[in-house]
Formats: sequence, C-alpha cells, structure tokens
Amino acid sequence: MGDNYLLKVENLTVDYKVYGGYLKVLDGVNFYIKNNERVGIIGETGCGKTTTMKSILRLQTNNAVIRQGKIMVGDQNILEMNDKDFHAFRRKGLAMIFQEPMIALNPVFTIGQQIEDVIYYASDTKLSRADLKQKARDVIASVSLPDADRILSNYPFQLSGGMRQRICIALAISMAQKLLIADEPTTALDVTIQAQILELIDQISKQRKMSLILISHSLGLTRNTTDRMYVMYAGVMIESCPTKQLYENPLHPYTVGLLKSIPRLTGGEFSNGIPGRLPDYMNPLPGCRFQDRCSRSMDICRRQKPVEIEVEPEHYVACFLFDHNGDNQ
Amino acid sequence: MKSNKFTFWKENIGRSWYKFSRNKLSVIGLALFILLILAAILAPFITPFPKHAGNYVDLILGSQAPDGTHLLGTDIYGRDMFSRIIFALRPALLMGIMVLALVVPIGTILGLIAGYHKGKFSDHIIMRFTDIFLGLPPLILALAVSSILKPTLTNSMIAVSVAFWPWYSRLVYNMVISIKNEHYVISSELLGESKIHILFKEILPNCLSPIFTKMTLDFGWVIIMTASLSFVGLGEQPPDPSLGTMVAEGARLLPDKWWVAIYPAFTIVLMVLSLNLIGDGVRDMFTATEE
Amino acid sequence: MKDLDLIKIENVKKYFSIGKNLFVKALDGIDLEIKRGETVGLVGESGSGKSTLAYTLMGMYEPTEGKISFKNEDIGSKAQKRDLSIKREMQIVFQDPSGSLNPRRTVLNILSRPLLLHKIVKKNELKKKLIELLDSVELPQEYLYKFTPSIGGGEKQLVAIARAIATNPEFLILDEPTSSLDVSVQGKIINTLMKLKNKLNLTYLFITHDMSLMRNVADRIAIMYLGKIMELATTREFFENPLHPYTKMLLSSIPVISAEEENLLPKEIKSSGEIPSPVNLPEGCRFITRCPYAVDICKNSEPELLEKEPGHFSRCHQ
Repeated sequence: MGDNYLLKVENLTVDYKVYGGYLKVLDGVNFYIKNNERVGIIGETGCGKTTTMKSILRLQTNNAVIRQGKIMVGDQNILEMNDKDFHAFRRKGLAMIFQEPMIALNPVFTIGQQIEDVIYYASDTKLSRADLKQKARDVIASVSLPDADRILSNYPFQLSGGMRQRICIALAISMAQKLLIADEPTTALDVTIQAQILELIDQISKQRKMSLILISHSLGLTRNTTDRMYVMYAGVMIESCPTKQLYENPLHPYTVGLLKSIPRLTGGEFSNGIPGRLPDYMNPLPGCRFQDRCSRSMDICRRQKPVEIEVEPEHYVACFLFDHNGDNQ
Repeated sequence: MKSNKFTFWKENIGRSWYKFSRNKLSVIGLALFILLILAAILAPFITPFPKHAGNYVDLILGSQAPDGTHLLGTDIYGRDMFSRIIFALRPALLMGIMVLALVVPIGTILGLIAGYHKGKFSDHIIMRFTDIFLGLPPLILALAVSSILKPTLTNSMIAVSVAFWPWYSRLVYNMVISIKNEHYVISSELLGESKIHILFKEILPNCLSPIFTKMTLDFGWVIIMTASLSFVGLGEQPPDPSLGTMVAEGARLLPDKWWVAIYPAFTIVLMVLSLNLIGDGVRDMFTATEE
Repeated sequence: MKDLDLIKIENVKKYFSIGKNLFVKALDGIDLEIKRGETVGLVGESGSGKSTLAYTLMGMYEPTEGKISFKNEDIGSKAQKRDLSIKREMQIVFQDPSGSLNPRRTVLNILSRPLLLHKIVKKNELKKKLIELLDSVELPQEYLYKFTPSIGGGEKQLVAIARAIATNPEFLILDEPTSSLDVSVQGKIINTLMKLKNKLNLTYLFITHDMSLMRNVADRIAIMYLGKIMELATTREFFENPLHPYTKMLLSSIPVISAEEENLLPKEIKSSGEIPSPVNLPEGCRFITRCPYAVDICKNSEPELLEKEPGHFSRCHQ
C-alpha cells in the first residue's frame, strides 16, 4: 500500500475544548490522496473539513485535542513529528490557499515584500536581493499576471479579488512541491473569475504534478477539477468515489439529498434540501451522525456507527443501507 | 415560553463566566475587588478603631510604628491607619460609581447622536466639543475644575466627570458610525422606525461590550484621579479619610515614618490593580470565540 | 399598459463622488420596467451596480439623475422622505441574514416592529399574527423567543423573509438571498419564496449570480455590467439565444453538475483582460477590455440598448 500514497489520514478524531465540555468535531476521519491526484471534499459549513486540513498542516488552535488517529506521509506520522522536523517538511512540501484572499495577504506590506519573504524563508540557500526580486517576478508570471514589477510594488487593496487570489495561489505554489490545499478558493470571487482561477489551479497542479485537495461547498465546481471526491458530514467521510460516480450514482442519502436540491439549468423541480442542522457536537447521539436528518434512517443507525464499505469498485459509503454487517442484519 | 429567554441568559452568563475565568489573574482581581467592596461596606464592623475615621486626636500615640494594636501603625494625629484606610475605601469606591453613573450615560447618548448623524451639524457640534475636552490632559482638567469649585467630594466628582465624559462619547461615536451601516439598522430605517427606536433599541445594545470593558478600567482611573485631587487638597477634606489626603500627610514623614504614606498608597495600587486584572477578563469575556 | 408597470426605472444614474472631481459611476443610465406579478432577475458581477440599483429602488440612495416610479408615483428620493405607505409596499431581503437581523433582539421583537409600526394588527392580535407569520415560512412557534445568533443560516433567512412579508408588501427585492447559505438549505429558501409569491401575489426583483437558480425563478433577466444593462430578455431567450458577448462569457462559466446541462452552455469564451475601473471607463463600449469580438466601432462609440428581437434587448454593435 506504501509508495503511491502521498498522504493518508487514518481514523482522525479531534475534539475542541470549549465552555461546557468538548466539541467532538472529527469522528474518525479516513482520507487519502495519492501522488499527482486531485481530490475534492464537499461538505457544509461546520462539517469539519477545515479542521481536517488544519490538522494536516498542524495549524490547529490551542483548544484542539487530537484524541486518536494518524496522518501518514510516507512512513512518518506527521502528528508525531517534532516541531522542527515538521516545519521543514511543511515548508517544502505543503501549502494552503484560503477562501478570502484579502485576509490571507498582509495589507500593510507590498505584494513584492510578501512574496520575497516566502521565497527567502523557504529557500535552503542564501539568495541575493537581485535573486529574490527575479524569483518574485517569476512567481507573478507563473500565474499569468502581466506587468510583474507594477504588481510587486502594489499593496493588496490596490488589486482586484481575482488578482489577489492568483497571488495567493502563486505564493502557495512557489515553494510547495507536493500538495496544494485549496479551501474554497473561489467563493469570494465572481463567476467568470472563478472559472479562470479554477483553470489556473488545474493547470498548475497538472504541470507540476502536484496533488490537489479542493474543498468546496459547491458541487458544480468540483465536477471538472477533481479525479476523486469525498463527501464529508459532521466529522465523518460518509462517501467517497471517483468524481464521475458521485454525480451519476450517488449512494449516501445525504449526497442524494444534496444533489436533488440543486437547481438545474434544464429546469424542473428542486427539493427543499436537507431539513435539520448538523448534530450537537457537544453531545452527539450514538450511532450515525446523520440519523436525525436522514429520511431513511433505521433502528441500527441509532445504535451503531456505520463504517466505510466498498459498494462498487472504489466507491465507499458509510451507511447501513449498504452495510449488511450491522448487528441486526 | 418565557423559559427560553431565561435559559438563554443563563447560558450566556455561564459562557461569559467561563471566558472570564480562563484568565486566572482576572479571577484573583475580581476576588480582591469584592473583598475591598465588602470591607468598605462593613467598615464600622470590621475595623478595630472606627472612631479614628473621624475627628480623633491622640498626639501621644502619634506616628506609632505598626504593632499588635495598630496593624498598620498610626498617623500623625494618633489615628489607627488600618481603620482609616478601610473607611477611606468608601469615598474611593463611591467616586468610581458616581462618576461612571454620570459620565457613561451622558457620553453614550452624545456619541449615539453624533455618530448616527455623521457629517451633519449635530455631529460637528458634539464631536468638536468632545475633541476640545479630549485634547486637555484629564488630570489637569480635573484640577482646573476642582480649583474653581469648593473642595468637597461632590465637587471632585464633578471635576473628574468633566475629564472623563468625552472618552465615552468618542468610543460610542466610533462604534455607531460602523454599526449604523449594518443591514439590520438599515432595515429598520427602511421600515420607517423613529430615530429614538433605532438609537436605543437597535444600535445601543450592540455597543455595550466595549463600554463595559472600558468602565471596568476607568474605575481604576477614577480612583487614581480622585486620589490625585485629594493629594493636593482639592478633594474630600479632613478629617474625613481619603487615600490621597493620607498619602499627602504621610509624605512629609518619609522615609522614617514610612507607614503613614506607604500603606494608603499601597491601597490605591491594590484597588487599581484589581480593577485592571478584572479588565483583562472582561475584555476576554466579550471577545467572540470561534466555536 | 400603464397599470401593469409596478416599477418604472427611467435613465437612472447614481454617481458616487470620491473627491477631485472623480466619480464612481455605479449606475450609468438604467431603463427597466417591472410588471406586476413577474420575477425580474438581475445578474451581474461585482462592480456591476446590481446592488446599487436595488438600494436606490429601496431609497437607501437618492438617484443622481433619472426617475423611479412605483405605481406611477415618483419615488426617486431617500426612504425617509417617502410616504409610509410606500415603505410598507416595498421590501428587501438582504444577502446575509446575520447582518440583516439584529443579534441583540429576539425574533419576536424583530417581527413585531413592522406589524406595529404599520398598524397591520392591533396589539391584542399581535401574538396570533406572529405565529401566522412564522407558519407561512414554516418555522415553529418556539423561534419567537430565540435570538438570531442561535439559529441556523437558512432559518435566519426565513425570519428575514417573514419580516419582509409582514407588512403585506406588493414588491420584494431579493438581494442574493441564498448566496451566503449552505447548499443544503438553499432549496428551502427558494421554494418558500416561490410559494409566497404565488400566495401573496408578489412581484420580485431577484438578484443572484447563480445562473442555474436564475433559470428556475426568473421570468425575465437583465444582465448588468459596470452600471449599464447589457442584455434584457425572457429567461428562455437569455439562455437559449444569448446575444451579448458578456452574457455568453458568463453562461460559459457556470459550474453545472451534469453533462446534459453542460451541453446547454455556450462554448467557453476565455475571459482575458481586466475589468476597467468604474472611475475611468473606456471610451465606447465598456466591455471592450474583455470582449473577444471587439472591432473599431466598439472603441469609438458606446452602443445603445436596442431591441434586436421582439422583447430581446442587447447593448452591442454586432
């Protein structure tokens, strides 16, 4: 199973300590991504997708408690690496681009200063000022932005949202080699710019043979930019399969419900969506986390937690509708 | 049906306390401050020589060093320091409460009116007036006002209030100018609500957090200012005990008979310190955390 | 004919001064009629002016030039100056319910205000009406005593909708009502809005950037770019026969979830070039910096919004 996996998250369970107890946000997340693969994660706000990514990058807040689980890169569990080794690893290997490009860029520094900073700190060798400047220009060019010198001397507020996001992408990829995590990278952008940015991410990841984790709440965005998809709900990966299958043959009631509620260009009815809300993370009900919103929940769903079962080749679902190994079947 | 509101408030208070109490020092500060309030209230019952807080003179016992009977020594008139200090807590705390009770409503209302009418005449009038007062160093201002009036506790309260009100006006003004553009305020305007409703029911409830935080810290400042005024003789007059006056009286006896000045000074420090520690906690209490 | 037009917008301009004799031309000559009972969709990207138009209609801004009529009455002024009856009849639902509902007030307070202010009910009938209102957006009674931060995004928006229909309005502006909500709750909001429209005979101005959604709710669609309407047509015409290059560009960027929908979209038009600054608009057609079909005449003269086919208007020289 070894060398084709770039990253493997195994049974990750994370709680947040808050007033009143613990929020048991991640409940055994299983996730993997291979080299040169593009994976999408779909999930609603609060489902745990950002928490998972933050765990991978070890950017968690102070009150996060990792109860169990491993995050394997090669044969190393990055959760157990010491800080120094991990920083070196993260610097060279991983990068993340965030949803709001304005927050990700420091408003009081010029673009050039920020890019040069990244290059300087990520580089092993000492670079001269001229080298830094040239590398910064290369970075701007790599995301098809013209007029590099002007952009480098600008401050973030002087640029449009689309340009800022391109710069964030440029910053992210300038040093990262292996994995790019894009967390809702186009939510704050216009539709036409959105298309451009996604294409850029697509192009870059293919060119550099980088793996890509694309997180979104929009099913339309991930359809053409990913090879494989995960659907996340309340801290569990409830379904995963090759992208095409998710849209043509969704299995988990949540996924089915979601797809039914999206308005179509071809017209026709769309449902009210999925009634209810995410479970109370403080006191989650035993069993399946989707039980109270599921129109097809059964007795066993309230008692046991479903595990991921391979229903068709490469198509995994965590649901008792497909798992006949539960205690009463 | 009302139970929902009750449980909501109960949960809110619980959560606020949790946030406050994460800061151990704040809890210590709070405990200390509560202790001081209780001491002030119970002064006649807990002090060994309550009469010394008034017109009492026993020169034989003047300036005695701290010992078994007089825990903190005696002052130049032979009065028990400990008792006088406890009684002196009263005007200090009273000043804090009275000044804030006067300054916060006035400053807030002015800030609300000026902020809501940003750019218009009332904004200019109110805020320029505020700016003038803000430009003067608060202590100097308080001293100036004090010196015009007769030196009493009430008048020093007026003097300190004059120095403090513009800060609330400016604080609320800054909040209002951003809140008034929120869609919930605009919705009310579009509905046809009166200005009074909008200012007090829509905008004000959303300004409370920084106001409360500032009040906690300002309490300490008021105490210092009061002490400063009475230090130069412009506050509470003797023989009524006042920390500032006591420090002034004891200053002449330094460094030999240090207790006469140091203990009252230390009490001032203790009061302000406890309030500042509480202030940190109050600030955390109002910080929205990601959940 | 005149009776059918609920809203008539004539050559409305809204310029914002940014000093030094420079203006942001948020609205640069808008002509639009909204007929009673229809849903007019408004599409546009950031900087297009669609929100400015909505806000100007509501009276948050006063138009710099031009005329706005509601039921033939001139309402081109700020809301404060308008009649109370106009305020009652025109309502807006904003994009972000966390911002449009006061976090320090209960749902009961929020919904009572419009009812009491516009004397929709007497005080003793208030409670009954409130429950009715919550019912019509399918929210349970208990929500009356909740503070909005404790309820979910979709439900907050339902409260905002309840507030909007409380005054029995005739016209409702929906400014991206589902854009800040999760996909799992969007359907409910839209379906509720459509049900209410039929039940209460409302007229909608529906603003969204989600074209698939627009396809399903709008009768006619206007697409705006930098303060002007570029194309105006029935929904069907808009999708099946887009005339303006910008429309085609937008349609080709829509993220869809099935192959059959993909086949309905125009082939992708590469969007190159940047959006010009609204302070410094180009001479001639304002879309020129991004248009793949631009020719000389486009540089020199600004095209008019012309009826290219019956009921189908486009602002393009070609």
